[in-house]
Order: sequence, then structure tokens, then C-alpha cells
Amino acid sequence: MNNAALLPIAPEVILLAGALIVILLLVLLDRPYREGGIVAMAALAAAAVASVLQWQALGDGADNLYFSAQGVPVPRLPMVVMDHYSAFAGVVIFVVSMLGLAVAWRLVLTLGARSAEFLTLVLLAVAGLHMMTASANMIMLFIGLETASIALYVLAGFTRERANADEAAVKYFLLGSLASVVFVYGAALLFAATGSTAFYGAGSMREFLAENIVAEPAILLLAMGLVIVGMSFKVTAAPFHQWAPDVYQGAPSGIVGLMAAGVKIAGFAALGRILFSALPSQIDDWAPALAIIAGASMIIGTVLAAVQDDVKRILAYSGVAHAGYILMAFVAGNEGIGSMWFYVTTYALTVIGVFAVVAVVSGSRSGSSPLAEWSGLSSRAPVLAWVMLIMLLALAGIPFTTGFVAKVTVFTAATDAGYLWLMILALVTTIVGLYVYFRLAAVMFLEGPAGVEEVVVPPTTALVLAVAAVTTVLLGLLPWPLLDLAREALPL
Amino acid sequence: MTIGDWLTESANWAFLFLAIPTFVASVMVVSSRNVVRAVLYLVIALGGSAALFLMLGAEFVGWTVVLVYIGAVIILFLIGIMITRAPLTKSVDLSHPISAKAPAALLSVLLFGVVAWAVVESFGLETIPLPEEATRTGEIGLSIFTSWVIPFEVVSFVLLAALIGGIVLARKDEPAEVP
Repeated sequence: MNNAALLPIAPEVILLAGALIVILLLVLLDRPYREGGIVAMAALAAAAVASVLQWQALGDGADNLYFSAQGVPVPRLPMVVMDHYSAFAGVVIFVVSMLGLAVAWRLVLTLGARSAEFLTLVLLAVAGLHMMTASANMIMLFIGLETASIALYVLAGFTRERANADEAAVKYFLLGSLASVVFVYGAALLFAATGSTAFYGAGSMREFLAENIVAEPAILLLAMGLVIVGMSFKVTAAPFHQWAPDVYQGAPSGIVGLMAAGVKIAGFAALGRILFSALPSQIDDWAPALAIIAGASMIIGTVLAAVQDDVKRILAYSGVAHAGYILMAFVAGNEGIGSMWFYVTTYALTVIGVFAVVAVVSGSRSGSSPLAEWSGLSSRAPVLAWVMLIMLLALAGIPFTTGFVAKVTVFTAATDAGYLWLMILALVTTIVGLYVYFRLAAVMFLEGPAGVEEVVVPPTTALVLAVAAVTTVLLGLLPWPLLDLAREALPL
Repeated sequence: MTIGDWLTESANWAFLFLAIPTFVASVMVVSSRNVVRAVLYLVIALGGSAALFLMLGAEFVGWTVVLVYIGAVIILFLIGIMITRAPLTKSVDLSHPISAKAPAALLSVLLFGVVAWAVVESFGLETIPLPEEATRTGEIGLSIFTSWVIPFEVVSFVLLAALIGGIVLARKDEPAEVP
């Protein structure tokens, strides 16, 4: 087995090794809080480099690599796949996680001896998230999903001194487990319908569906429906979004950005892997279902975001609406993958930035973030308020930000695929959505200051805010480099 | 095939003998107002489903249900009830109003209906032959450690995450300084 054969699983191996080292540091050193954080950051950075190497290896003409057990003929039952899709997902997930962890740094330092567990769980969650995107088999995808989910349930309830952190963790756990059950039931029925759990290779779902015409598709339809419902839970698409506002509100602010952005990237990538790679022949069945979910998400997310009084709840419902916009790219099938990647990437960067501001304004351990705390932020911390405004403009989809380019690309994708009604609906909800973001901006800029206490921005958070704000504007003005990369990031 | 034909088959009598108690016990699990009784009904329901798996030739799954669920999970439930001092008598907390029960019951029936309809629609009376090796536990063990060894290894990290998570959530207070 040469080195190239290990490259497909390199990011996961690095992250899992990092997780174990962080735990072991606790045994070896006295209070290794800082060291643990450095190891975790280094592991994430190394994993991102490994993903870049994967991309380059693919660009050099290397075949798309599969990874499977030794001695098993690889093309028969591949477990992990390395293609431009998984490499792109790797870079995005690891970079976003580094930013998320930098925002959580304040929180990590306040946790004391529990910080090692926190960092380990973050690394395990990120490894699981990337595994979801690199799976060549339904079983692997489900295990990746569970690794990430279990770690995130605990992270949501980490500051358990607060009652609503407990509530957040329990609600996330119960509804997330239900989603997992629905998903795995769908996976089992897919196996019943196609006789395989593999996405690629001989006898895989894709080959079965390409070679056979399913005369009685009832089981297949039900299976696809359950898989889509299960994944919709994870990416907070309506009507499966009920957990998101409560969980975001209860979880410590320092980590919500990572939770929200990471799960969205991996959830959409995994859904894309299943639909584009394993079930491309059934697009006429799943695309209309996704279009309806997308429409429902945009309407419900926008309307409910307008009536919230807590910034974290506003952002949660805005996330529901954005899940709808991202799903618009899916209805275009393979043509929409580039738009999906561009939207997911830029949205994740913006969300990390937005929740970094929340963590500064309301404190990294806090749960709720009532609007009152935000009034007059521009006079207390002008730079912070302006950075937040840039992010809000991007979320609203104003020109010269990434949000505008992202919206244009998904709108085009959906229109080209013949879903004009979805495009018009999205246009309407975007305009209504302006109210949501300008309402928050008005509170920050037009109302009197809420208090006199100084707003302290930790240096790590300042760095994240700078990165998020610069990318949001720069990629809004010059989106082509990222768009080109995103269009290349196709699954096999 | 008429119902008369169906009833002449002895395997179908065995199926009914197992399925009816399983069904009744499952309903009792969710409708019982006493936690301990609900758990004991769950034993019957799980035992019945284990027996159904054995009838289908899924020896490994059947015995796994017996060992893991009836053996371990039920014991955990009972210990959990014991150490949390949950009331052993009828509990008011468990009696939901009919307005909460009705939609739940409707949804369950609807889901069962859809799944049952889909199975009948897709497979009907078609008999799918079971490969001989699929029923042998030894073969399953071999394939776990050859074809499926990667997912098997990765599951250990799910367990690690669960273990660390359990410790974090259950540890009582901010721990003393690490030596």
C-alpha cells in the first residue's frame, strides 16, 4: 500500500489523531488548555492542507481514488471516495471549523479542565462532518453523520449550568435522533429497492438504477422521501426546522457558529452525494420534492424571522430560509452543484462571522441574545457594528456582497431547470427578508445605547471577523475564482 | 391467494402466534401509565420481534436483539428508573390529553399504512430467495472484518464521542484541578 492509497482518508486520520492527542495532553501536562487548543488548530490546519493535496493529486490526472479494506477488490465495495467534491468540501469544512474554533477560544478558556473534552468533541464532530461528504457507501455516510451528531449534541449542552443549555441539548438529541432514525430507515429501504448500499462500483445503487427500470417504484420513492426528510432535519429545512431556534438560543454562543455552518455544509454535501451520485436517474422524482421543501423553507424561515425578539432566533430562522435558497440549486441536478457550493461556502463564512459578533455582544457562554442588548451598538463599538452590517447585507443579498452573487447563481440554476415559480417565490421572500435584516441594523444604528459597558473583542474573534468581512466583500466583488473552483467540485 | 389458503400454511400460524402478542405489547408500551410496566411490555415486544427475525432466518440479528436489547438495554432502563427514583405507581406525567395522543396515533397509523402499502406495491407476493450464507452468523462475522472493516473501525469513534459526551454531561461539578 503506497502513500497515495492513504490520501483519501488522510484528513480523517489527522483529525482523529489530533482528538486523541488532545485527550492525552490532559494526562501528560498540567492544565494543558492552551496547548490543547493549539493541537486542535494544528490538526484542522493539517486536515485542510491534506484536502488541498487531494485536490492537486486529482488535478494532476490521478484517478479518483477509492479507499476500501485491504484484500477487498476496491471497485466492488468502495467505502471512501476521493474526488473534487470531497476535496472541496474538506477545504471548506476545515477552514470554517478553524474560524469557528477561534471564535470559541474565549469559551474554551473559561471551561477550565473541561476544555480538553470540548476540543476533542469539536475534532470528532469535524471528522464526522467531512466523512459524510467523502463516503462512497450509505453505511459510512450514516456513521459519519452519527459521529458528528453525537459530538454536537454534547457541545450544545456544554455550559450545563444554565437550564436552557440542558433544554437545548436534550431537544437537539431527541429530534436529531429521530432524524437519524428516519434517515437510516430510508437507507434500509433504498437497500431493499436497489439491493446495494454503495454509491459507486459494480452493483451499486447507481448501476442498478441505470440498468433496470423500476416497474413498481413505491419502495424507492418512500426510501428517497425518508432520506430527504432525515437530511432536511439536519440542514434545518422547513417543515423540519423546529429544533433550530431553541438549540441555537440555548447553546453557548461561542460554538453556535461552528454548529450552524458546519452541519449545513456537510448536510448539503451529503444530500448532494446521495442524490447526484447514487440517484441521478431518479431526478424527476426527487427534484419536485426538494422544490416544495425549498419553497416552504423560504416562506416559513422569512416570515418567522421577522417576528423574533432574540438575535439568535432571528439567525436560526434566517438559516431556515437560506436552507431553502440552497435547495433551489439542487433542483437543477448536476448543473446546480457549482451554485450549491458557492452558496454554501459564502453562507458558512458569513454565518461564522455573524455568530462571532453574537458571542462578543452577549458573551461566549451565554444562551439568549435579546434584541435589547443590541440597541445602539454603533455608538458603543462602531467597528463591530459596521462589520455586523456587512454580514447582514450579505445575508439579505445586497449587491457587492457574496450573498448577492450566491443568490443570483442559485436563482439562475433553478430557472434554467424550469422552476420559474420557485425563482419568483425566492425573489419575493428575499425582498421580505430585507425587513428582517434591516430591522436588526436599525436597532444597532438608530436606537440609543443599551448600556455603558465597553464591548471587548478578543483578538482571535477580531481575526475571524476580519477574515469573514473581507471575504464577504471581496468575493462579492470578484466571485469568479471561487465560482470556477466550485464548478469543478463535481462528484464522480 | 385467499385467507383460507393463507391459514393452511403452518408458518403463517406461527407468524400470527408471534405477531399478535408483539403488536399488543407494543401498544401497551406507549399507553401504559406505569414506567416499570411499560419497560416490561417492551421486553415482550422485543422478544416477539427477535423471534420474527429468527423466523425469517436472520439468526444473527435475532440473537443480537435478545442479547443487546433485552439483555442490556432493558436492564439499563430499570436501573435508570431505580436511581432516578421515578414513581413506581401510576404516573400523572405520563397521561397526556387526548389532543396530544390523537395526532400521534394518527401519524403512527399513517406511517405504518404508507410503509406497508409501499412494500406490498413493490414486492407483492414475490418470493425473494435468501442466499445460504446470509443466514450464517460466521459468514456475517467474516464480512464485518473484511468488506466492512472500515465502517466497523469508524464506529469506535462514535463510541469515543459518546463516552466523552457522557462523562462531560454527567460529571457533577467543575472538577478539581488536574494533577
